[in-house]
Amino acid sequence: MRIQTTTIGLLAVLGIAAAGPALAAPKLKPQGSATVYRDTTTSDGVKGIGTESQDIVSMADAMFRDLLNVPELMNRPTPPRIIVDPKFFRNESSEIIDKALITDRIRVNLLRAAGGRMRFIGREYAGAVEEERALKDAGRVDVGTTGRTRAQAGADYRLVGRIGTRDAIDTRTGTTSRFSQYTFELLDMEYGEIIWSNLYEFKKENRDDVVYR
Amino acid sequence: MKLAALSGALAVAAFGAAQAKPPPPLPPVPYDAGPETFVGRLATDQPTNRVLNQMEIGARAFWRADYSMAKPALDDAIMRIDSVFADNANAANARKLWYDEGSKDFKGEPYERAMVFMYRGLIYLHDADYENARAAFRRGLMQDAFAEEDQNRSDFALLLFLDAWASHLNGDTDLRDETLVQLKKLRPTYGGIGEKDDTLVLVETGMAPRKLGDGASHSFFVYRRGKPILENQVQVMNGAAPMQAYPMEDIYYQASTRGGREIDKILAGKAQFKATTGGIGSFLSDTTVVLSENNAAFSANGQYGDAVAAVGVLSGVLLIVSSNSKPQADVRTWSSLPDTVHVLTLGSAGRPSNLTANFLKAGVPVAGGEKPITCATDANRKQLCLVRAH
Repeated sequence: MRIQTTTIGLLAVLGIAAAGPALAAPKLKPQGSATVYRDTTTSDGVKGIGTESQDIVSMADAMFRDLLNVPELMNRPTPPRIIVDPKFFRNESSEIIDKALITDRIRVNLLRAAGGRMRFIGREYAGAVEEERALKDAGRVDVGTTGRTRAQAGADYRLVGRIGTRDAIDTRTGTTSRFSQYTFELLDMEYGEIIWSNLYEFKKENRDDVVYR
Repeated sequence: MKLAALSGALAVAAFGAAQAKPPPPLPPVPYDAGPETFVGRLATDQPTNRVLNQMEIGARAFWRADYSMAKPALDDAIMRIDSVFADNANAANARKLWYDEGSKDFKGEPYERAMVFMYRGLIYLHDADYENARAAFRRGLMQDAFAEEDQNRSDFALLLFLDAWASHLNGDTDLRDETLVQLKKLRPTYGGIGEKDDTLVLVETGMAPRKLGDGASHSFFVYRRGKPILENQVQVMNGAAPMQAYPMEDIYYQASTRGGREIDKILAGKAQFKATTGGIGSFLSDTTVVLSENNAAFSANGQYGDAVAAVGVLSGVLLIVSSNSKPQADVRTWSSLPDTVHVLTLGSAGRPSNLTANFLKAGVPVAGGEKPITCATDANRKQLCLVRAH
């Protein structure tokens, strides 16, 4: 009787052993998921060590708030003219990024918060302006309602900067880390003096599953 | 009665094992075929093969100059290579006894991941976005840093060269020169980038490295050079004057010098378990048969018949466990990669280039080995000229 019980027990184990691999067949997730809005200041669902939306929002907001406290910009009887675009914001890092995401956000927030105490030059649109001025010069369109100027506006200051990263990998543990440093500076476009600087930095680290090491 | 029960259990087990079999490998696609087959596979293939299919689409579309198709494919592959999920069920499964390594989401070996970034970077170069091109090449170098062997870590000379070239085009001569110093250590015979160079000729020769299962139960794989390798040298003809393209990277070398992987230790453990359980199961099974056939006391109706039957069942369990454990290494391979990448830079003063490539093997021209080189001029009048032998 005891031996029969043992046999039944072993058969049960056998059944589990057989069923195990069957249950182990790849489980697909055929169902999709509806698109949902996420807070731009929250971390991404997909994790990496690169710059995420929350980093862009945080750094751009920090920079525009700091720029609002620069005396050379805010305390002048004649509002200074500033160029804020990505052209001289150099990416020397290992980060593939659309730099305009950062500079656009700084410019838009500055423009809205400055209340006319700063003027912003759209130098990246200079070609469009030139085209329109040529049409006016040729008399093919009228002068509009704001009148003519001798030339396009020159700038007093320009936002410049640099993106730098330092990557490291520990191959024993599979840990990857990236130190990212975003440097923002305001350059006097006549004298070359840097009248304002600020940094935004962060370091991220992750470790992928052992099956990828 | 006992034998019938045992047979039934074995049949159930065999059915279970059959169900757990991975899907059969899909048929190979010709090296020079376009991305269409893999576009179809994106919808029908296992989701775990998504990155592999995107790699194939990216490279094959790239060589057809279909950048609008190559870009999103490579971006998708990069996003998934970079992504780290704290609890990835497929990765966890790949560590388990019942799953082979191929059940994980494919991200490729370091040389394959590095090449994703190379192709993406070249598209950035084509689009005159030199900074993001440089970033892509640097990210590719980081993938190579996953190599285990100290002396071969981050030795992907091609990506260093392209990093320097992107800096050169961007006017960052300081960064270019810094990178060229590093490159010189890896490729001391490379002549460097001329100050007035504005054209990059990039040539691919040979076939992709192959991964072949090896060892007990194919619990690891070895690399073999792609075949056939019909050519290993390239002359670029600009009018009558031939210029030798520099063989900047041997992709097979990059693949085969990676060193051991952490997962190999897990797979070796699985293979050991499979061998042990299989060995004990076979021994018990043989013993049971011999005893029951040669001694009446151990036969089905004998004094110890039940005990023999129990041992027989145990041997069956062990054999089934052994046969269902899966120590096989993942041999999925990016098949459209080259064997060697050659480069040449020259100054064309912004004029369109009319170049052809002559392919040679050990200095001897290959029959029919002459191909026109396709050049594209970007918004800054810099040229990217591409050709592959196959």
